[in-house]
Amino acid sequence: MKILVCLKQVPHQDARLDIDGAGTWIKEDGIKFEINSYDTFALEEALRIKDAGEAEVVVVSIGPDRVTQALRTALGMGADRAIHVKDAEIDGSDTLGIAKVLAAVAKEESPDLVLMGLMSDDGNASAVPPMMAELMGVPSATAVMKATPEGDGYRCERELEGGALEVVDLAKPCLIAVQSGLNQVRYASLKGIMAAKKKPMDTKSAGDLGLSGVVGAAGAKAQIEKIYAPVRGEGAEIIEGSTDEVVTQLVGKIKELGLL
Amino acid sequence: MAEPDFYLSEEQRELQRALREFVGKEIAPIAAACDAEERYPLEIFSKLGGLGYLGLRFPEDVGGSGGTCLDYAILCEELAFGSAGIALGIYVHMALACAALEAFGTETMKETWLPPALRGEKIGAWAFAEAGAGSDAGSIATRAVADGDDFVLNGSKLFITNGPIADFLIVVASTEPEQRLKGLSLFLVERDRPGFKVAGSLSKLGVRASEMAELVFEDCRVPRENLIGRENRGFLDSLRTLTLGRIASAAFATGVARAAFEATLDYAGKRKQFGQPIGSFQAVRFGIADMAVQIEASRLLCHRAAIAADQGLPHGREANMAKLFATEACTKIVERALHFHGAAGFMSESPIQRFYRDCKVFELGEGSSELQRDMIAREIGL
Repeated sequence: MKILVCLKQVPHQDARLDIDGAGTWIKEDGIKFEINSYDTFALEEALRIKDAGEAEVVVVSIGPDRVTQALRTALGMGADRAIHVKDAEIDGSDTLGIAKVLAAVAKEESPDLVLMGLMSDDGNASAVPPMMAELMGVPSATAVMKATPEGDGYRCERELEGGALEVVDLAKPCLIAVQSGLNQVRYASLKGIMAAKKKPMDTKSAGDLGLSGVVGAAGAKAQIEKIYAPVRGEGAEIIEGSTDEVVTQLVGKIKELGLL
Repeated sequence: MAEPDFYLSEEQRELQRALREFVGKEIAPIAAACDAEERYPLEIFSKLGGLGYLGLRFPEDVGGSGGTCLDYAILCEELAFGSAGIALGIYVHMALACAALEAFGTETMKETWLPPALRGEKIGAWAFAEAGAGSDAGSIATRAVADGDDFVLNGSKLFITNGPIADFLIVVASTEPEQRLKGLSLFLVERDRPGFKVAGSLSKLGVRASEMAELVFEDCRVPRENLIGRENRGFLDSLRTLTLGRIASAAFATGVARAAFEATLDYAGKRKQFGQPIGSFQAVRFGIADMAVQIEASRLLCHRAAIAADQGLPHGREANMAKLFATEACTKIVERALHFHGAAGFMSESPIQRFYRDCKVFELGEGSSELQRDMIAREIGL
């Protein structure tokens, strides 16, 4: 049994975010990064499957040198080996480009199960998991709250709007994109951290994966036009005073507007 | 910009990251309550032990995880960042009780006590100080008299951290009173041994999450096998155990100072007076800049001593300097932090007042500042 866990490294939740000079992303200099919180639940789920029986857990991440830190963290928590896809050519990829890279890694690895977070803390697109599954030609489920082995695959409980759950059976190989909170993520043990250095970490380029010229800004169908902080709106009025005064004024305003 | 901790290895950064996560989720949320209730959260022992952190610096054959003194300094700073009191209980257990057993204990003692102690299932204490003996260890009055195959202990110990929660104690007692320092020996005393009792918990100004007690020995009979190391070698053995304590104290002080600094930096950016954040006023800016410098200097002195220890170099002077500088810097930093928080920092619900109460202990314990200065003066040739 082989499990591929896709991790994204995102800005730390406490990092101060400033928009970069081009206005299309944030300034990455000097800020801390961490593993996308949704992906930590996916990693924990993979490690639990490993703990329960025989499984190799392979983690993959795309990005610059800093991404090795996220991969080391995953190795320290118990993953067996890591794949770092590093290539400036991949910069500026849209979600489909990222899905192509991950699907190419999956094609080389032939995992029985791909686990990843439902979305990323920074991009919020939720697009990569279903795209990757389609490119791989395997069944997938998103927003999974619970996955249990069933026959030759997994029975997944998906979270729907309003708290309802949908049960989906996936035959292996398959891709499961987890919702946050489906398990309690472990801390890295001291021995795990010490052992991580000896675990293999391969680096791959777009060319290695046969994707030269296909991914990156050139191959992107969607491009970020700009990012900006919402502009403060006009027209709000704050009524101050004692409770009685505030209520009297508020009722007056509502009547004035003909709403009462 | 280079990372200020560029000299740390990849594993040490990962250790730091993992500990920050653990402290943020497991210790920081309970720190205020444990302080208010003067209660040690025993589950922290088993959680840290289960992850192998209590075994840091201990060999694998006794259940340890290996690791360096620098790793240990990182652990201490991170624990104290979350709670100085919780850090202190862990420190006494690891660096005093377990370290003494590992360094000088018999094989039987190590096999019996160390694996469960390093898993956090058994808790240790270090029974050194007495009403009449602190810095002046030669005045220790607790007596251990040989009687057949046993030693009989009589006396009392004061200000013993972990006293109320300990399963085993390392007791420093006099076997040759006229020899003073050279007549001290170390004994392992189990909690349920007849003649030993915890006389009462002591209430403190700070580090209140750590529990402290007075211990009494009344004709407490321990077998000769419980003698740790050689008879009358206790003081020299204690000294070896205590060197690490200076590095730990410096790291604790750095952790508390960093907690106060981060809170102040955040507050100064948010708190507005006269239409602007107080961090834009020069008096506050300069004060917070000074905090940052003092914290980095504290950490560097501490890590230098730890690296020297790891390389097998003499590091007594380095450890003394780190301890003196970091603990005094911490007290100054926390005082400024409270000042810049104004009334908000003075409120019981503010963590700043807890830091203010916690920091002083580091100038007192593991050798007072005066003792440090005296030793440093000697070490630099006076």
